[in-house]
Amino acid sequence: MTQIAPRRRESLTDAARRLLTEKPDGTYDVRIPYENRTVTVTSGSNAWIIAKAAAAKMRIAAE
Amino acid sequence: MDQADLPGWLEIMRAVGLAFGPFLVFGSAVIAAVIAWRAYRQRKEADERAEWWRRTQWAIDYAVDEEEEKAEIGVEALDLLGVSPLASAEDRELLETLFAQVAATRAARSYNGASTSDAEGPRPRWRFPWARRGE
Repeated sequence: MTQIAPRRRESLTDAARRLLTEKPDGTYDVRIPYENRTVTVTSGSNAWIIAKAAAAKMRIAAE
Repeated sequence: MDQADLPGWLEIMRAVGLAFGPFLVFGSAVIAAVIAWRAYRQRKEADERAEWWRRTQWAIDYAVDEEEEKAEIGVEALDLLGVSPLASAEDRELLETLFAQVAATRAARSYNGASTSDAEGPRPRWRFPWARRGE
């Protein structure tokens, strides 16, 4: 008997990673697709928060 | 008064009572049980929703905190709370707005005059509607 694996939700970190780009100068570009813009942030932790919040917003809107 | 002396209509009522009495008692018990079950379910759902909202408030406080670690925990927690079956469409809309505001506020905070790729510039700091100016 085949078992259907429960559908796992992608982690917010993985979803946020797709929006985040680390640049050679040490800054981070965060894509905000619903505002059609990219934000450049100097702090890595701040960049992650922005990316996670943007990813969470898009996920909740799509669900 | 003898049973034989009962009026005709009362005699009929007595016969009906004897025939259907047990069914009526059983039916009443079933209806009472259904009503009690529904009340229990409604109460349980209301309690669960209240608990969900309490956790959400905690997570919102974290998400809008200045401290980066707290803000990240808050956003992660709200992301999970948003997929709960206890969250209504209205709640999800609220969370969606909140996520957008957290991202915008953080982006504006790290804006240094030339950091955003478009010409919009910094956005005004987001506040709760009930917060006083300067908070």
